[in-house]
Amino acid sequence: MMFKSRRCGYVRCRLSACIDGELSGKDMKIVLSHVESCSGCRRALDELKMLDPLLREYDVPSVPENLIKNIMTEAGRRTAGEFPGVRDVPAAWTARIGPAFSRAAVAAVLMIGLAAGSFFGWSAGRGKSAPSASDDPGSVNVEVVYSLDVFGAAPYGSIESAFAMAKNGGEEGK
Amino acid sequence: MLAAGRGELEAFEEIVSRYQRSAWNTAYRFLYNHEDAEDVVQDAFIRIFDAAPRYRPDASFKTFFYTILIRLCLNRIDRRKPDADLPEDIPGPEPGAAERLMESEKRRAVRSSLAALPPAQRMAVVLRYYEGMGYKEIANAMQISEKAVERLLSRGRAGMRASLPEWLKK
Repeated sequence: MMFKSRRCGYVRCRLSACIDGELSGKDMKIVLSHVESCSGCRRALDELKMLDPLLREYDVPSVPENLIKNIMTEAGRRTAGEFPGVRDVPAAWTARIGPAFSRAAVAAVLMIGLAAGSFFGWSAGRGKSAPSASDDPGSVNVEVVYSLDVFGAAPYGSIESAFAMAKNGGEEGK
Repeated sequence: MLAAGRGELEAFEEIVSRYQRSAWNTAYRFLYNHEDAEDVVQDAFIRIFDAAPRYRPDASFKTFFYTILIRLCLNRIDRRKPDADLPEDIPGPEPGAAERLMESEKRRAVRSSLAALPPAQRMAVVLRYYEGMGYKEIANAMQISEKAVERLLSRGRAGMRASLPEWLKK
């Protein structure tokens, strides 16, 4: 947009804030004195001002009759403990996550069980060949440390390996 | 609000009574849909209730409430289909037939031009024109700077002006 002068560009950016009375004293003085002498900026200001009465035309319907009743019913249910412990959880989230939460809880229990089993299996399966803090670092078996035998039937550290070890009297891999 | 946080429903009902009108007006003017506005307002009050035990009166409750309401309105708009219906017409007073038609068209044009604004500009215009909020209040409620509010309102007004029919601009 080409303005008559640089001052026009400065003023046009501030016309909206001028209408709202949100300009600093200094800027308000600049804008008001400029529009007195610049017909283009004065017209732009008038065009923005004409929106005010038009926007007032935007009526809204009355507040729904049951609005407060529905809100208080829900609040009452929460106070009565129908949703224990969820006063910090938004209502919409509660309705959505309820079923998902129970599924997630079951999955979490299974994962914890598997992880615990793997850990204990790994712990039980640690033998002389396993790297440990007490071993001489120079003698760590790199193949064991970086082994990719996870695709084997009983990879090192797995539950299968631990069972095999227990069955075979403490020897890994047999 | 502190009383509501202690579970005193009468106190919460007082809050709802005091703010339901302005919440409804804001939500309806922004979403221009009865059902969406009702859902959002109910959701906003329930979230206020849920958060009441943690509420600290450090900031204005109005700002706190509007922050939640605005966020819910913006989320609802994001989820809305692009070809959602235009604002519903609200019957005005009963002058003659020609005047009624003119008034109806004027209201429709204003609603459409407001609805055509991007969500952030629309919200800034609604809060300024209909809730009488200053730039600082709008900035706090929308969690933006005052300069950003000034830009939103400037662009919003320019956008509305551009989309109004010529006969309305005279």
